[in-house]
Amino acid sequence: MNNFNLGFYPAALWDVLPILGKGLLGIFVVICAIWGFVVLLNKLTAPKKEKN
Amino acid sequence: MQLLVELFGNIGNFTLEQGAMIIIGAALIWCAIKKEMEPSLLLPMGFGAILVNLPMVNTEAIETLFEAGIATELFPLLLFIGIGAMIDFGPLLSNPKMMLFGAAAQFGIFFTLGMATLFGFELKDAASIAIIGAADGPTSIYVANYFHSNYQGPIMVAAYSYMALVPIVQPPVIRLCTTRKERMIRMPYSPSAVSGTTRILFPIFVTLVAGTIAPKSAELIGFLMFGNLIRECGVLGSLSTSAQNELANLITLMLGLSVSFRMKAEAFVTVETLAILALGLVAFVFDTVGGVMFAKLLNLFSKNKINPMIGAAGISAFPMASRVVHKMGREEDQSNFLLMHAAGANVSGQIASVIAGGLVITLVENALHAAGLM
Repeated sequence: MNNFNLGFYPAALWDVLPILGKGLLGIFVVICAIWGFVVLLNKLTAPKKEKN
Repeated sequence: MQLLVELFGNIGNFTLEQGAMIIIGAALIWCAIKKEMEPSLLLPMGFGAILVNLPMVNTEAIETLFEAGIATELFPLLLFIGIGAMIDFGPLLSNPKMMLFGAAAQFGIFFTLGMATLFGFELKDAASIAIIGAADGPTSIYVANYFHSNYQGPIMVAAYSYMALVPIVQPPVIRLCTTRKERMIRMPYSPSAVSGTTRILFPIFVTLVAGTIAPKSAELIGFLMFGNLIRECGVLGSLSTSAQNELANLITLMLGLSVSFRMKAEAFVTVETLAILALGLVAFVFDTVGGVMFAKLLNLFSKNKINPMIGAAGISAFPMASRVVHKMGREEDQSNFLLMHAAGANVSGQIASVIAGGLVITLVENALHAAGLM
């Protein structure tokens, strides 16, 4: 457990910023794809309304 | 006299740190029994913490359990079958817009990843710590173990403790981010009918998409969705019941005991543990902030206003987060029922947290490879 040196490392934060951006974007991409699929599926499999 | 020394000589081998860990173990047991905070996990963890911190104790059996179930990532994956079988995605499928909140409420993970590296944690440890913000125990274990993090014990304790503390952590954060008027926004609930076909195809499609875009999440999401498929297929009722009860209970029990192997005093009573507990809280707070702010952002463009508290239910802690939001809504307006909307966002958080775990593994591993560190 000797790989932690408490301090302030702005350069390290700068290095991980692309990971943060890609990660958040990635989640939204996957979730939007699933959202689109569910909307489509709901439309295709919705029970047909009976005419009065 | 000689006999007394032989019998009680081991007492002298107790260290202060071991004493502290035994108190922590007792505190976990107290939280489990008295406060009913995640008892199925905190109780075995607490008992295990006491057991492994006895001086000169033989922990071979617990180590074997750890190597068999956690080092191989089997326990978190098997537990996901049970969790998947427990989740009813109905509220989400009938109101799929809620999925967005599951994604937004993972903001805390990425914010904490930045904070952990800013304060000196190595990237692989920072990633493992950040996943506490997934509010999802098995994913936290999976990621921490994937990166062979030295901090698995504190990460587990933080993940499960904060999950249990959602009703205490979230309300003040939500109040800080919203006005009373916003918290009183009503959302009519008019769910569309969800067909059996949709319920069956949903877990298969989620596995396909998430597993393709973030292959490292394929196992996690696959086991979760497999559990859900057992539930929804309609022909495996008894298997679904077993997965929800016996399987989930037994695996949780063994998971708790085996995690305690990482709760030995020399590895746990450190400054790092305090830092991890603090960062875990940051992760939960910023998950909540992310979800609420995203809902407020959507309200700028939407005609039908969303109660921003729904965003806070996008974290994976199910069903606590949705109950918190519903309760807060009723505190402001007794006749405001937000539960079904919140439940939709909440189960979306279950999926999004696993995807976030897979993405973090993929992105951090690529960064470590590029830097020649893996």
